[in-house]
Amino acid sequence: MKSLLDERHLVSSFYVFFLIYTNIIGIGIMSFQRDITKDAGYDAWISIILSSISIHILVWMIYRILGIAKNDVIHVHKFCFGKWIGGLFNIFVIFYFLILALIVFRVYIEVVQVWLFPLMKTWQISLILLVLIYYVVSGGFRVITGMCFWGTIIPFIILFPLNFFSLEFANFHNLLPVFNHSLKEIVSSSKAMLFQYVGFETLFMFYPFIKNPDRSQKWAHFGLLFSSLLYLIVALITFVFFSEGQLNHTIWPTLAQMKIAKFPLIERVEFIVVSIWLLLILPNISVKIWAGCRAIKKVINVKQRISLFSVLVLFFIIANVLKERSQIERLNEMYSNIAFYFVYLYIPFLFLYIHIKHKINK
Amino acid sequence: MKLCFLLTFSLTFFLSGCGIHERIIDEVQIIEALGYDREEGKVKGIAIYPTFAEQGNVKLKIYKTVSDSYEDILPRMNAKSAYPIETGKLDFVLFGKEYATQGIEDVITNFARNPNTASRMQLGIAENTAEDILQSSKHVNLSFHLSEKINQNIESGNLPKMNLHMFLNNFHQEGRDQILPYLILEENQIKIDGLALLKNGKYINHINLRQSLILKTLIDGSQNGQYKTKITQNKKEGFILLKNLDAKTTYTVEKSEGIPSIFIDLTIHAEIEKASSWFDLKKDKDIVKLERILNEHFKEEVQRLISLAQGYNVDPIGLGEKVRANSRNWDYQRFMDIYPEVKTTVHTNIDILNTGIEE
Repeated sequence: MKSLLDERHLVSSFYVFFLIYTNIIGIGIMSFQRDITKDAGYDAWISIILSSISIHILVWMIYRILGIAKNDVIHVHKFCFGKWIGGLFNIFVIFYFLILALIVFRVYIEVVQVWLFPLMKTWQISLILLVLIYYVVSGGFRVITGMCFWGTIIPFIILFPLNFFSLEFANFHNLLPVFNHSLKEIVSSSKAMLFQYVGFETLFMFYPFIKNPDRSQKWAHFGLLFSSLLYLIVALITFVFFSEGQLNHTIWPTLAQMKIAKFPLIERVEFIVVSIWLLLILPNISVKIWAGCRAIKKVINVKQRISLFSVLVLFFIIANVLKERSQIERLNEMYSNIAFYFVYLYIPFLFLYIHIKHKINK
Repeated sequence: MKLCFLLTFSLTFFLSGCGIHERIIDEVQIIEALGYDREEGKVKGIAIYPTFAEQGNVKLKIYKTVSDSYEDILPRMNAKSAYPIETGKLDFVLFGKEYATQGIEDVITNFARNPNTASRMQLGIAENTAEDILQSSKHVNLSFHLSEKINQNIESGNLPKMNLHMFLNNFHQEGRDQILPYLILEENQIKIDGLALLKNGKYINHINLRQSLILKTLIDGSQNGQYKTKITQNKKEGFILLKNLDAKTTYTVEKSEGIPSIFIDLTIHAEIEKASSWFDLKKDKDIVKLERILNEHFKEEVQRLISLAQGYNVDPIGLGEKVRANSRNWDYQRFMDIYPEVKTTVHTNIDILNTGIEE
């Protein structure tokens, strides 16, 4: 199959693993435990597995959709719904990616302010980060993929083992009794878990940039499997480390459980954790902004450099307007509702629609 | 392009410097221990801070302040200090008994709110006032010796695993009450004299060091600790000091509905460290006999500790947690009501592994 793009813009299919992983693991990994235990208590590890399975099915669907179109989702929309209605959907897609990036961006700034530098102003942190993001995204998709690769390797090697220090105070009785929640509770906790996987849809945009896209599907599934295993392990460690009552009081359980690690000379591990975490957040935001700008380019034909610059200026303004935690949380909640319908209703709908359309056109 | 690069580079470089609240070690006042007392309706705060006059020579000094509530103790001390007070290295908080009786919940939960608080910070209850203890600890001139004293006793002595994280964990949990080290002054030296039992952050009573070893084996098993007991053999009385090598406790909840009943199986592998000289430990038969006596003894002591706790209506062992882990419809309020009547059966298995290098 001949690719639409020049060979020098493409990445090899193996990197899809890192792209999917960095897109999923972002801000959620630090705080998802409390959201998923709200309904299902300490049976929530079941919902991690359930939602992971459902996302695997959706990734398979995305590959089928894009396999027919052999192009990205912008093209799919135009093909399915025509220029005008398709264009409307495309504008939705632009906002979908950009708002997701904005949430990640704003929450990370919040973490830095709460944990590290309480006196640092939002505009200072956001300006530094945005300059960095501009640098990464303007380098093009291959540079972003490189960031994804290192953003996977370095934080995983340094941060993941820190979780295990908390096992010194583990209480395995916390997990018992298992299966003590109704199916309804597990399902609504799976819904909360879904938001932690949101981000994998950027696959819709970077699909044409993969060499041998058909062969990359297994790497996408591996990336997904790896992320859900990470979620599962971190959640289980949290469950044995915190009692259910205490978890309800903890806003960032993963950070709090890493805090128990103690090294000579390094009294406060969380300073290192939050700093290294940036390596994971940076590609996470970059891919989404890149996807948004790429979509803008294809819809209204603006140069990517210009759209990127205006998007980042917008980010800077909005990040400074959202001052309180409650505002961020409201945005987050609103977004997760939209994401739920987009992922679970719209993707299967598109999957069916494009198959029917494809058959008719034949 | 060059200009653009220069601009972004200098922006990143200079901006990263601004807004960071610098905390250089010479320009902050680290406090390492903090005490709270209640005095005539007011709260008295005592903080110990180190001064480094010359290298390797620490002098501990004290700030004291009185306020009508605990919240502004630290700001009031800050008003007395030459440098801003920093709680990042704070690793021991002590409460006077009177303060603890009225509840330490507020202080602890607010410490947990602060990201600078160490999760491994140690807490304690003073027999009289926190002031007494901290005042006399000033003369030691060794940084962090109070928290080290507790850590050392957790590692190799009779105290179960404890720190701020464990306290909060038990405090917010349904089915386990909190314990803290209980500190007294003996000959003007600070001594850990057992464990204070708390319920909902309020001091109830305390147990001695021997009982706290039993509690330690019941809570997390143990590797260490020493235990002295009186033995009567052939109408002669003598003492044995057991060195606890390895202990393990398993719980089986036999009935979780109605009045719960729990089977406790305690295994201790011990070494005889010291014994009165007339004990005959040469023959295997004597060891077996001794083991039987100790078995009876421990069974009685465990049972006594449990009924003591039930009498105070506190649950330091976490019997509630064991029942919760085994019941489908857990109701904490109901369990609290029937807790004093929970039935326990104890089975002990003492194994004397050796008697040192001589018999």
